Amino acid sequence: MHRYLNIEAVGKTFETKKGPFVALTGIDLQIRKGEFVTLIGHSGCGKSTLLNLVAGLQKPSEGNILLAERHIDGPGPDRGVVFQNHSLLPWLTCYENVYLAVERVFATERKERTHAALELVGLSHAEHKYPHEISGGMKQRVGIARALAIEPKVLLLDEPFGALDALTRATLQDELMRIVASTGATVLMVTHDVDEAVLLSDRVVMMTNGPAATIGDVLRVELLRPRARLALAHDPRFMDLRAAVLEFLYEKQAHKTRLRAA
Amino acid sequence: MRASALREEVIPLRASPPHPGAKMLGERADAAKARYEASTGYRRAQPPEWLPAVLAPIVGLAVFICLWALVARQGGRIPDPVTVWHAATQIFADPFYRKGPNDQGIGWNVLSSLKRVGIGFTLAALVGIPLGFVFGRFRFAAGMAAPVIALLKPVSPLAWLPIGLLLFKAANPAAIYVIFVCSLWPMIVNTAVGVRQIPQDYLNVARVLNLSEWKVFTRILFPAVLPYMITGVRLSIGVAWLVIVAAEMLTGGVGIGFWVWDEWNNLKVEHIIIAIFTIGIVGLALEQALVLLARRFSYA
Repeated sequence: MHRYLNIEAVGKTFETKKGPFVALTGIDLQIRKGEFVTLIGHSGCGKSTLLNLVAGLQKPSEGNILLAERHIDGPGPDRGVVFQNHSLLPWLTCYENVYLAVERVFATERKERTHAALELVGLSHAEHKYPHEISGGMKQRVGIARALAIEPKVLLLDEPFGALDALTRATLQDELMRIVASTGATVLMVTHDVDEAVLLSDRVVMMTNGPAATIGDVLRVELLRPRARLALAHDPRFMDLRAAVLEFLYEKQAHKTRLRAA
Repeated sequence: MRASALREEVIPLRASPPHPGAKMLGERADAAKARYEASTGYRRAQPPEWLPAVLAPIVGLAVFICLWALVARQGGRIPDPVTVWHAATQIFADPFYRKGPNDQGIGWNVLSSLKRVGIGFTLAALVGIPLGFVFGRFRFAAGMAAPVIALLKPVSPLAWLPIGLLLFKAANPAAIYVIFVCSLWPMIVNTAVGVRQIPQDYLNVARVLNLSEWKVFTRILFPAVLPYMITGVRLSIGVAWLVIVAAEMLTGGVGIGFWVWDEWNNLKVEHIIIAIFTIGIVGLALEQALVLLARRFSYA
């Protein structure tokens, strides 16, 4: 399955009052089953737009997206989405939030599946709490549980830890690595955090600046798993990879305004 | 030349910086206070924090009653608080008597007014809330409704009374109809606003989970709009309780508004004042009940 998720010559143009705006162009990306791929780039480079296209929330203007050889035409339960701001429904408990997703997909063992998903993210003790009663990190865990509970073919994460403090973010990154290792999930994640991208990914897809953003370069991260945050901090290979991403972002794709100022 | 001369006269406005010694003086005062407390072992007695909050309304009511007593003393026909209090104890000693259709206790009058408000208001909710959902969800429908609502909303609800009498040929349904009309607008408008305020995130969740229309309504639209709906209900019931008094004055029958008018015809001014307080207290109770309800359904 070398082309489990297949993004073929995809472009996205928005119609605006000032005429058409080309956000993405010529995106080609193939993701293997079980692979962890991150999209990184400066803000406004269209990485979230690309994720929305895969999620089916928006439709590509050009090209095709196929998941397990099936054309993506709108949102569906074969893709689990984790939003940046958790997007839990505040009037439902954690359990009910996850159950809402489960009952849409499975006819049997709904309760068991809901419990299992919350256990996977370590939140069995908070099942009957409401979102406003738990911390930001816990909310995001529920978001991940909700996305995983439907056993999607691919997990789509849109800057899932962007709104969290550094310590919580690190804990959740470790959790995510553990969950992905135990479920064998295929993951496409958007981030603007270089360390996060290198730590988590099998491949880091670096995007050029918009408008008409496209894939600038792809970096393979061939570090063995399980990866330990502390050990990697001094690993020269990790530091080289990190430097390569930084170089791409701050030299080749430095913001145009900054170039002009220099 | 003139302009430049004028400009020179303008003194630049600038907030003056705090005096350089201000901080030091403040610290010195605090230190002196601490020394005093340490040397004597006493603290200056402070009133408890809840006291002003309790005291203020009591003082306010006392001032109000004193002013009333003063006005009553100036002569005229305004009864003083003591007279009204005696009349009130008599009236509330037996609020549920019945001596024929036009002579009933104040309890019956309040209840029949509440019943009219309840019926008119429930009908308005049944019509207004679904309409609000439609106008909130579909832009074209909202565009169609906007001029009609804008035109009819500022009309005094009492202007609808003749139409009600014409349609129903009876006083009681006409009064209910007036309540219906005046409760309708806040309910439609607030529900529609609520539907438009639903965060896109929630709708995206519905889309990625591919929820059925029924689930979208029961799990997302309805709970998200509920706080707005309750606001609409609160405004409606406030207006309805204002309007029912006036409507009943015109239609007659049993009801607190009719009672006010009847007591005016009997020239029992103290009873009118009792009615004013009763209307106020019932209105306050309705408002508070809905505030409590709103708190139950807010997800902060």
